[in-house]
Amino acid sequence: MSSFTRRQFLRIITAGSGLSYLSSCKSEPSITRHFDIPGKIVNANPVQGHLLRRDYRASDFPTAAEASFDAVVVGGGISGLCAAWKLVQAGLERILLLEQGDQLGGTSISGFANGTPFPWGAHYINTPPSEADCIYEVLESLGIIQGYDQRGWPRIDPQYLLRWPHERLFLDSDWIEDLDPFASSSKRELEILRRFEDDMLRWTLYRDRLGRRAFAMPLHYSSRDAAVRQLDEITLADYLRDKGLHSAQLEWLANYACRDDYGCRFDQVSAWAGIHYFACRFYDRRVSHEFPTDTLTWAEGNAFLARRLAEHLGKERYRTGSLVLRLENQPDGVRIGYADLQNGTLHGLHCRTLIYAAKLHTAPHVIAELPQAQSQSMGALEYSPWLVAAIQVSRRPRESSVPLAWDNVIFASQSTGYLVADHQNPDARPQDPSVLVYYLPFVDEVSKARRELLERKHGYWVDRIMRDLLRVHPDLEDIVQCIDLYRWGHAMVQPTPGTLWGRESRWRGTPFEAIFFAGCDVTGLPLFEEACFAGLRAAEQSLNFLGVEFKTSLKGLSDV
Amino acid sequence: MSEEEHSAAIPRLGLFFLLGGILIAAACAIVYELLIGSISSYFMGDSVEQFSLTIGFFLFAMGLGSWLSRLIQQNLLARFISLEIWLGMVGGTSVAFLYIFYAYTDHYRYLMVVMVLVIGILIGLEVPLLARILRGYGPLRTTLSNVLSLDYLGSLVAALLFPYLLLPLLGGLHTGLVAGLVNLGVGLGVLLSFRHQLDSRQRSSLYLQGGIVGAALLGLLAAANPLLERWESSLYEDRIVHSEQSPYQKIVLTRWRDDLRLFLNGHLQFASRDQHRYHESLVHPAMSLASNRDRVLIIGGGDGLSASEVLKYKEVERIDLVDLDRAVTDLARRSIYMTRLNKNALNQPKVHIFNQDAFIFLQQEHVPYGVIILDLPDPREEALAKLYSVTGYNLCRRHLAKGGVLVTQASSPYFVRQAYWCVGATLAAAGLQVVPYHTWIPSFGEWGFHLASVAPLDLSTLDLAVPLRYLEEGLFQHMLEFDAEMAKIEVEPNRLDRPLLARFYRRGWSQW
Repeated sequence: MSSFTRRQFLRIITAGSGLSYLSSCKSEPSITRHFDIPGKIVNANPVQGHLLRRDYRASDFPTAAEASFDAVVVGGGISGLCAAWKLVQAGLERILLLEQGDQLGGTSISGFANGTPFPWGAHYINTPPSEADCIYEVLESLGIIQGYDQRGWPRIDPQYLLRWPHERLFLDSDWIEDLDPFASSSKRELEILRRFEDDMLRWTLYRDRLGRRAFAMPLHYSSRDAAVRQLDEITLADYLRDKGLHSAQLEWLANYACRDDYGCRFDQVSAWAGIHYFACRFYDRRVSHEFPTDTLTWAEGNAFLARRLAEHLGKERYRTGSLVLRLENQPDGVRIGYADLQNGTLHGLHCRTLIYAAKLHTAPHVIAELPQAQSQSMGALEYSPWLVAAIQVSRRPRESSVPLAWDNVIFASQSTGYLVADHQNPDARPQDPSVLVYYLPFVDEVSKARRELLERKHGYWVDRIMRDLLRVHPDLEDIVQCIDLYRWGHAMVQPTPGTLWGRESRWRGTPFEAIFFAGCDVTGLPLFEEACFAGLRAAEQSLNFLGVEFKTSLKGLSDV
Repeated sequence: MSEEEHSAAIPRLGLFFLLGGILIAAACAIVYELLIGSISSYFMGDSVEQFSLTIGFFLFAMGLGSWLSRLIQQNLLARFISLEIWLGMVGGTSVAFLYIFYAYTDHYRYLMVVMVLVIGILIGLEVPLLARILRGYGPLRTTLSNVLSLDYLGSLVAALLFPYLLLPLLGGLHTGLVAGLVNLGVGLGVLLSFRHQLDSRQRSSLYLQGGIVGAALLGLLAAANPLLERWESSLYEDRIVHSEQSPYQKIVLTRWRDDLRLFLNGHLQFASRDQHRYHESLVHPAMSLASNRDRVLIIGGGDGLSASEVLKYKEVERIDLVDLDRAVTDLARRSIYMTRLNKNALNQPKVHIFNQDAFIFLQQEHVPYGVIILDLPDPREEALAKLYSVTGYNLCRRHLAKGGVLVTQASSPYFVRQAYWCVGATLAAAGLQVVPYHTWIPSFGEWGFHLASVAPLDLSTLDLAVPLRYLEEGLFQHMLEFDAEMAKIEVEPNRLDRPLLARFYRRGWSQW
């Protein structure tokens, strides 16, 4: 979930000794110290979602619908919000969005402490590449893209561009920044890195007969060439092995990228997804002039985008704390049964079309008579759990020779590091209270990890986090005030082999009568851009179903 | 101390040092010789000539040294040690001097020969002196056999180390300095093991000499990189942005403002300011006239600039590029200066790079190519000229698809008129229909090409349908005309067993 640029990879790969990471991963040291630090688990009661496990019948809900809508969106994450955005753009009046949580945004939600908002989940996007014009359209309407230059490149409102210093890495015994990337690696190691870079560049430059890129954003615009799609049949680890790219440092790099973006190890992730990370954007210095790739971020992370989308939608068009329990296609539309979680009441609604933008693995539990193939395809999705900690500190940690950055990564850690919440605030001073947001993905045995996440107490996680961070910030004990935790049981859909392009994958995006599916789960890459695209597409399918005239946002390629 | 007095008293360890010293000193001698030959080829081109001169003068000078050894009558051991020390100095700094000769004087050729003579004479002194030192130890029969066999063995060691290890790993200047230090080491080793046979005056004199030479060589070694940069910069007018010694050639990339230039062994390959005039003229007539452009073969062209022009045709599905030197294609793929100029041509998935000898590539089976582009360096040496031979073009013709077109750059019809028309005659001798044409490229001068095909080409079908900066259909018609000073002359074709082209080429340029 944290941004990790190519430049930094180079630094790790060249300066690092991959082995220290590997060994630290294998044996978690026994808890020797306990820390008495206050704080709470913010989503202490995550059983709400598990209400779905019970089977609800139509008779559980009031027979007469309380209200009827042209379109209802289930799920207020980025995808549901983008779907609603499109419905509003198209002028549809009678629409409603239902969100089970008390905040819109899905994994793009935020908290507030020590005078600064901070992200509980997703917290940055990159400039989408030029084929992602549907995402430009959304960002433009939110005021993030201010216009376009002569080359058609988007002009981003500068206040949203990531401020310097972007990132740093704790390696062996100190932080590094702007180190000569080729300083201490062996010639062999460097040659493997270069070969890897050359290979990724070839994929970046790949165009098929129709002019499609091998790895596009949104991925739906990618080439359907067999040579490209076959990469979804193997793991990234297989791919590197087949290419003869053996290097502990390169493997560390690949593994970090996959944990960071997909919550998977590199030997679990589809090679297609893994290469997409490197080849979709123009990071390579040899093509960076062809398209600028900036990082866009906000103090509250992507919750900023969710808030803007919610404002666009308008308060009267969404309900939070509303958990949809049952959906049933009927001749005149879809019948909705949902629970109002605030007062525990059950309600019935009717809509002509419905966009399902919740986690897709819940669909078989909610949608009555969902066809077998769809049900299986959606139920087969696996998600990685994450733990996010908001560490409130009385001042920022003491700096070493390398200044505190936005993103601070620890080489030998199971976490993906921490970020400084008020980094984007130009007035924030080091001596003032702040919030450090710490991210811990669970990539091994996800079911077990999820159970552990649910059962372990606050103190256990605090001890783990403190032990990890004290190695890099000995002064943390003096400045930590409080650690709040957010547990994500299903934070990221895992793009394992077959998820993206396998034969079953198309069922996830196939409409079921008046129900259309959105969410990044449809395509399988847990990214803002995918969520946005899937939401727009479901909205357009729904508009077509309703026979409403609209201007399409999906101009990208003809076969969309 | 006279020769006869000390000769019986050689200690065992000393003998070991002396015989080992011969082997090492012989290796150093060969290294100097090879260095001078290759650095001169790098500066002057034509490795055959440079190596011939170097080897010839070397052997002659060694003979001279052997003859002169008779003048040394006393203190053989001290003289021998002194000789090794100063040979280390002269040999070690030889490359540095060659750079200085080339960069700062106009008399490289003569100064180089003088240098070869000096080193050769010193080396020529070695064996006779040693044989005389050792003669008391055993009969002449074994002494001479020992000395000479070790001497030749050392030559072999050096001859193997030099091309595979020393030059690629250390580069010329460092190799020279290291060999010099090793030579000095031989002197000092002998000095230490024989110190009791020398009087204190001799000893301190030799220590002083060794100290001076050692300090000089080590000092140069420490300063070698900045010095090299400075000397190389003075060779090229512009700032050097990349310099590399590959197993095949010296690769230098320079930049001045917007102008990027690539030099191979000191010869300009392109200047970015007008390279499009060359590459458009080379590539597009052939691409336009070919009846099929799916598959294109480029021989040479490791800079990726021809490939960049070919990639303008969307129907091209595959480009095979055969360039011997991986260092050049890596530079074209990885240097940001190069990738901007060639638009990442060699990083495109359509392009497949083969770093092998074009002759070997052409002897293998390949699906025929619609267009074959020969973008090779000028045929200044026999090794390069073999690709411009009847045999070479016959091999190319075998890989040409039906309606396919071959094009080759052919140097200047004005400066090397004989060479230019020799390429045409060679193509014709390989059974191809030839269309000569030429144009003006400011950084090269008047420059010529030949189109060739199995069936005669219909030039009226020339249709340049891709965006170009320079070439246009009307202009091409003018390119077909040659004025009286460039007009066709009858020349014999270039054959492998009768390589005329390189000679024509060198003779042509020597007049300018």
